[in-house]
Parts: sequence; C-alpha cells; structure tokens
Amino acid sequence: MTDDAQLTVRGLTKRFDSDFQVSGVDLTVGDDEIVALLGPSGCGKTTVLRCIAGVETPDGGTIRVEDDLVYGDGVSASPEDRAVGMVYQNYAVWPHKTVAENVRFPLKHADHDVPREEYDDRIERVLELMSIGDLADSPATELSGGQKQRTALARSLVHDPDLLLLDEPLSNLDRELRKRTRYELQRIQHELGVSMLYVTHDQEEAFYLADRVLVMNDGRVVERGAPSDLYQRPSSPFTRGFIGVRNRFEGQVEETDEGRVVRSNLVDFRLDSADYVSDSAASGRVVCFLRPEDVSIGGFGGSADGRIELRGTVVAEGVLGEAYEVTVRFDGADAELVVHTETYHQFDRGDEILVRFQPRRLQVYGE
Amino acid sequence: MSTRDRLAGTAERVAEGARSAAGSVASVAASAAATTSAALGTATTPLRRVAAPVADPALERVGPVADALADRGLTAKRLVLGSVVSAIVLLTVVPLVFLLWTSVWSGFPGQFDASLTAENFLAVYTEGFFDVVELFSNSLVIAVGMTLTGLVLGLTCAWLFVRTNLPTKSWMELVLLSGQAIPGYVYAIMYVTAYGPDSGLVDRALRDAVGVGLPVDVYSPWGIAFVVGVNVVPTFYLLTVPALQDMDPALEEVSRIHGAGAFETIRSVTLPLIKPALLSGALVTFLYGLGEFSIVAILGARRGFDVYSTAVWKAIGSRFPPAYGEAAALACSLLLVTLVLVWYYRSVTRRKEEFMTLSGGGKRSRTWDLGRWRWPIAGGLWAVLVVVWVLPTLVMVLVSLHGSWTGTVDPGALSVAHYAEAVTDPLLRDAFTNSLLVAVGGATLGTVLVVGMAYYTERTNGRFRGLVDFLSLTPLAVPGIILGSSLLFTFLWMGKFHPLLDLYGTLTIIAVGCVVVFLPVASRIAVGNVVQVHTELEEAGRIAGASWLAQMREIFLPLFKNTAAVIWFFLAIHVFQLLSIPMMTYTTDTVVIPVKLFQLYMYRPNIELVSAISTVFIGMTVVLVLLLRVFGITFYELGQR
Repeated sequence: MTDDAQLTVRGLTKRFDSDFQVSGVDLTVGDDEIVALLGPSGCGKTTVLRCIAGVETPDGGTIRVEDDLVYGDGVSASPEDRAVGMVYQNYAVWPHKTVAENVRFPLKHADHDVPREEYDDRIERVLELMSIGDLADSPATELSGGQKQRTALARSLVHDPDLLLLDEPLSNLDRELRKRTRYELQRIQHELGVSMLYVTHDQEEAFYLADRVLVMNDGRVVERGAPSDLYQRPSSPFTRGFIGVRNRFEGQVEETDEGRVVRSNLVDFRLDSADYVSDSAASGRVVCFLRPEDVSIGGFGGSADGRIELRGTVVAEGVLGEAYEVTVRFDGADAELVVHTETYHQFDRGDEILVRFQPRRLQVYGE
Repeated sequence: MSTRDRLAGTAERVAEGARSAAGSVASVAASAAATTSAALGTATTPLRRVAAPVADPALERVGPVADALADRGLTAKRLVLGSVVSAIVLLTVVPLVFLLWTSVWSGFPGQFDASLTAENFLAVYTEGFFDVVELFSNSLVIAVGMTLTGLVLGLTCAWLFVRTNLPTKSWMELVLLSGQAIPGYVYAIMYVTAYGPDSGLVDRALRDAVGVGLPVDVYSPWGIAFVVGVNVVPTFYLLTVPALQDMDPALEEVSRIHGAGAFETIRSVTLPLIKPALLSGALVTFLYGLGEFSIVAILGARRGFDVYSTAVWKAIGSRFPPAYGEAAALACSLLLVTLVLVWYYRSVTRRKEEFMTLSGGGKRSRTWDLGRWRWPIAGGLWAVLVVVWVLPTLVMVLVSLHGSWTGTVDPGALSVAHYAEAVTDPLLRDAFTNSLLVAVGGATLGTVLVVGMAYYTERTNGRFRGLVDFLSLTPLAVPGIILGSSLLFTFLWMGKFHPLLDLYGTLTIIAVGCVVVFLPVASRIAVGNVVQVHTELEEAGRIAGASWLAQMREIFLPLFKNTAAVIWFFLAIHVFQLLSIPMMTYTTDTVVIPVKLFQLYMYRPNIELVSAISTVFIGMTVVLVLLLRVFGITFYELGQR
C-alpha cells in the first residue's frame, strides 16, 4: 500500500494550551481515492489537514506526501515545497486578482511539469471543467459564493497535484448548491483521478463522496472504514451516536438462568436477541441504540413473534421532511423513544400509543 | 432659465464643490484624527471599522495564526522582520537610555572625562534648580483642563450628531474635523490675534463698543488649557462616535420609556456604556497634556507660566552653558508618572469586549427627536463652533493680509506683502524644503517600520511579539520635547563614538524623532488593519507554491497597500506639523517651518508674517489632502460609519 499511497501520516500529534490535543493520528490516502475525515467541531480534523499542508506545525509524528518525507525526523518542509493543493472553507480567493490570475498562481510558483507555453491553455481548460470559463477576467470581488468555490477548486487543480486537501469546502454554500457541488466534486475526482483528503462535519457529505471514512473525536481517530459499514454497523458507540441515531439508552447486563439479559429503563431484553457490537464479552454497563425508522406504530393482533411491544403516551409529534415523527414517553420506564414513519398520523399530545420493534434492530455496545 | 435660477444652480454647485473640497480636508483631517483616536481609543468593534484595532492581539492568541508557517533558519522573512524589530527596539529604548545616562553624568553629553553623579538630581529636586512642584501643578492644570475641554465639547458634539436629529449636523462635523489640519501652535497664534488682550480683534472690538475687554484671558493658565483642549476636541469626537454608533439604541429607549428624562438617560445609560472609549481617550489626551509644549511656550511666555516641557526646553536652549544634566533629571520624574499611565492605558484597552453592545447587522441608529429645541441647540452649537474654530481662523487670515496689524480691521493696510515674503524669502524657502524632506523621509521610514512590526506581531510566532508591541507604545509616555532632548543626548554621544553615527545637526535626526513620536498611533493603525487581510489568503499562496517573499509581494502587500498609503499620508501630515522634536534637534542649517514660525512669533514680533506663513502652511496641508483624493485614497471610511 505504501508504494501507491499519495499520503501517509503516522502518529501525528499536536498539543494546544488547553488540555486539548491531537494525538497519534494515522491515516493513508491511496491513489485515486477520496478519504473523508469526519467529526464534530473541535475534534481536530482541520488541525490534521493544516499540518499536512504545512501551515501548522505538529509536535510529533511523520507525514509523507507521495514518499517524500515532509515532516518528521527533524524535517519540516515549508508549504510551498509540499506538492499538495488545498481548498479552504472560506475559499481564500485573492480579492485583488481576477479569476484567471488566481488560477495562474500555482503555475507561476509551484513545482510542476507544465511547460510555459501551455499555461494559458491549462487555465482555460480547468476553468471550463469548473464551468466558469466565462468568468476568467472577472475580478474576484464580483463572484458569488459558488463561483468563488469553483475558482478555489480550479486553482487547486491547475498544476495537477497528486493530492488535494479540502477543508469543509461545501459548508458555506446553501443546501441546493451544496448538493450540486457535491456531485460536481465527485465527477471531477473521477475524471482527474486526483486523491483527496476531505474534512467535514457533515456525515451525509462524507458518506456520499468518500471511499473511506475516518471518524474523529476529541483529537483521536475513533473508527475507520467504508461508508456502508460505518453506517450499518459501526463498532464504536461514538460513531453510532454521531451518525445520528436518535434513540440512545443505557443498560446493565445481568446473568440470569436464561442467559444474559440487558436491563434498561426502557425495556429488558435478552442479549442474544439483540445486535451486540463488540469484540469482548458483554458485562456491566452497555449503551443501546435504536433507529427511529426501526420502530413501528401500532400493536398487532396475534403473536408478538419475538417483537417487543410497548405502550406509551405521545408527548410530541410533527412532520419532519418526508417522515412523520412522534416522541413517545413511557411513564413506568421514565424513558422516551423517537419514532419515524412514512405515513402521516394525526396524533395529539397525550394520546395513548402502541409501538413495536424487532429486538435484533437494537444495537448494543459495551462501554 | 431665468438668471435667478441659473444663479441658484450655480450656488448649489459651488456649495457642492465646497462641500466636497471641505469634505476632503475634513476627511484627511478626519483621517489624522480618526486614525489617531480610533487607533488609540480601541474600545470599539474590531472588525467592522477599518482603522480601529482589535484589542491586544499578539499575546493571547494560540493556534493557527500564532503558529503560522514556522519558517526556520536564515530566511528572507527573518532578515526583513528582524531588522524592523531591531530598529523599533533601538529607536524606543536607546534615547531613553541616554536620557538616563545624561541625568546621572556630571559632564555634558559627549564629554568622556566626567563621572556618574547624583548632583543633577539633587540640584533639581532639593536645591530648587527648578520649582518642581510648580511645574508639576502647572502641567497638571493643563492636562486636566484640556482633557475636560476636549471631553465636554467632543462628547456633546458626538452625542448630538449621532443620537439626535440636530439640523445641519453634517456641516458642523465638517467644521469640527477640519480643525485637525491646523497644528496646535498655530491655534495659539490665532487665539492671540482674535482674543488676545492687546491686539486681539474681538477684544478690541468689545472695548471699542462696550468699554470692557473679554472676561477670559487667553494667557491665563485655564485659558492656555482651553486652547490646548480645543486642539483635542476632534480626537474625542472621533473616539466617541463609533462607540455611540455601536451602542444599541434600544438601551436608551427603554430607559426613556420607563420614566427617565434625557439627561438622566445619558448619565445612567449612555455614559457608562461608552466609558471604555472615553477612558482610553481621556488617558491618552491626559498624557499628551502633561507633555504639552508648543501652546504653553507661546501663550505662557508672557506670564512666565511654565510646564515640564518648557522648563526642559529652556534649560537646554536658553541657558548658557546648557543645563543638560538637570534637564534630564527633571524629565525623569515626569516619565515615571507617564509610564505608569501608559501601563494603565494598555490594561484598559485590553478589556474592551465587556462593553460591546452590538446588536448585529448594519442597522441605522434610531435618533431622538429634539422637537422644538432643534434650532436653538443648533444655533447655540454653531455659536460655539464659530467662536472656537471659525472666527480665529478668519482673523488669522485677515491679519496675514494686513501690512501692519493693530487690532482692528483696516482696509487701508491690506496687502499681500507678507505672502510674497513667505514665498520668496530664501530662509523661509529652505525651511519649507526641509519640512517637506523631513515629512517624506519620516513618513516612508515610519510606514516601513510599522507595517513590518504589525506583520511581525500579528502574523508570526516570534518570541518578541509582546515586547515589540509594548515598546511601540512607550513613546506615548515621552513628551515630544523630552524625546527630542533624549535624541539630542543620544547623538551627541553617538557622534563621539563613530563619525558614521554623527547625525547631530542633520535632517535625519529630526525625521527619526518624528517617526518615534508617532510610532504608537501608526502602529495601532497597522495592527488593526492586518486583521483585515485574512491569514488564509497568505496560506493559500504558500500552499500554491510561493515563497514567503513572493507571497508578500503578490498577496499581502498588495492587499495592505491602502492601509500603508493611509499610514504614509498620516505620518507625512503630522510630521510636517510637529514642533517639539525639531525644537530640540535643529541647527541653523536644519530649520523646519514649525520652528521658523515659533521663532518669528517669539523673537521678532511680526504677527502678520507669522499669520501669512501659517496660512500657506495650512494651504499646503489642504493640497496634500486633495492629492489623496486624486489618488483615490479616502480616509473617510476609516473609523467612520
């Protein structure tokens, strides 16, 4: 893997004055691959990116860009000597230059293989690729957010870097534009085959674009894997919570005659009827997650056929996009469940309601 | 179109032209004061206003900016920034070192065969070489009087203009701010010609009409303090305006709704909210007041009213042999007080965030309706403006047009002889040339230093950021005369060490001294505006392959050039007008206009010529202002709405 890795980071560490620190971050980005660094604000993902770019100096670790050691072992290459491109969240498009001048800059200053005569041609092509060919001579101050975004992208790609760093490039765009640009980014990456390290806090974006996702929290990489795996069955409770499962409750594992049972204030269930996600054997405290889509409204005649059925009271309800959301309180249990269903109902606060779910949809994590 | 219509149209266009020309004057004057006050006031919002700086930036910041681009080794960056930083350290520290040395040296500065001694201190503080107590109390009177004057007038105008619907307020502001184009000592001369007890126009007119002269004596201590204060009103005004604009008008409104009257509201709501801006402004003006020289020298001569600065000046300039040691020893006690005040000032301007009551968004301030008081108040304020600013200026111009001035307007004596002399006399021409050279040289040196310094403290993680930041403020503590004396001492010594360092008697020493005087203000402007150039823009340049020098050339400096130009012109105008430094460091070959004016007034009573030169002098400033407009540089957005 090391031969065709565009980026190799090992043991990256950086301390800040408060007790926050980025510690021991390992990551690789291969050829023609998009890797996403996903995490909440303040988890250190932008710091990692900036250390790779060379605009921030880590305290330890090594960074290799395509086999060149740029940081580590006494080496600390300045940003201009690292062969990367970068797109900032706020675009960092130079206001005193035109679009074409902005895009020309790396050709003038960076190390690359493009011969002088081809500069103009290159600039034109990359601007066309970004669909801003007609804005070449516009001053940067006249651009809209989306246009600045494309200019920044064009600038970062014009000299054919092997690695592109992106720091939340879509966060400042409005929703519709975000979706379109997301699609564009994917298209461009496929066309050019450039490797990308993409930092974001938006899980949807990360999962849509990336081939691999690294989840970060509090300065460390918590989990890594393919988007589908992380979505279906993350191995860490943090990832599970971050991906946005709304129902979370805690329980205690108990040994009984019938085997291990989880006792929680919502419901008690047999551990082996649920989806236990962990390497070690379960004991003690556990965290349980249940997706709102996995809970159905209504009871059923006939056998429960293994499903858990609960009776509760509606405390909130409303339309949420294309789903209908009901929050149900279970008095005896002092717990709540959020339920999503595709059909609209007309519940009122205080209505009695019956809900059911399959116990194997419960994801249980050891703490 | 009838003649009348055409005349009306022409009148309107003339008024427009006058407004925009006056606006130019005001705007550069505003710049000068705006940037001064906004820079030093610092109690206002950081980001919106181009000139108002962020608090005490360099020190508290951790993370990307402070860490940015840790370039190592002997790079171009280190060389450039290193020399700038060294220069600043040298310029602020070395003169003070030599001042101290001179105060404990038994011989003259430059005299090697002498020794350390405490005699100077003893002579000054115990043997009555100077009446230190009187000097201090006089200085205090001036400082207090001017601060009060500036505060009262400035704050009143600011509140009325910003928070009420006072008619003609934009014209009034123009008049108020135009006053900044006139240096303090010229004000003093104007007041003598207008209100002086002997040949003052107004005094004479009153005497002729009513038999009694003016009840207020320009030459009295409080009179002098008032004239000094007049100088400083625009500064207070420009300091208070942003603070008032940032204040959420709802705060005043809710007070009125719940029963408090206008005055009560101002007292218990408005004033406390703008306190930080006022406090820092008051501190700075108080500091200047303690060290005031030119106006006291001109007005105080008659009654022997002395302050620290004039005492130091006389000890060195008027005594033979010059009492260098004693003057230096005297200066030390003032410096003790001022350094403490600067320290205090620094801590005050750091804690400004508490008082920001920004309500967000660019909303227009809601104003109070003055109702039937509108025109009376406007009238009253105009009366004040005329008496304080307009009349003295007109009188001075009148005086300059008289062959000989006797206190009343005499159509028979009108002539432009003095203007002719002002423009043709070779000595005066030399003085003008010298002034220009000093201004241009000083402005350039100052701009380079300050831009470099701002970059160093804001954009790098250099070890000496805090120190440099502090040192750039220390000249605030040193009155111009004392700084001038220190420079004198420094170069009297330096000249003895090495001929290359013998700058005594050159224009360079004057330019350098002027730069140091304005270092605090200029550096605050620079520092405040560096923030506006986002670090990301530089970083993007580096990531895209440019070296530090290339990045500076292509990204940072082009983006900073408007601020740099503003700083340059600000320095040029102020250095042009400064009296205190040249006063201590000039020789017969390096006379500049302020010194010439001073000499002409004090030693060769020729008030008509003095007035003519002053008018020409101010005219040159106005021309400079208009030049700015041509170059498309407007100060007006600085520190303004």
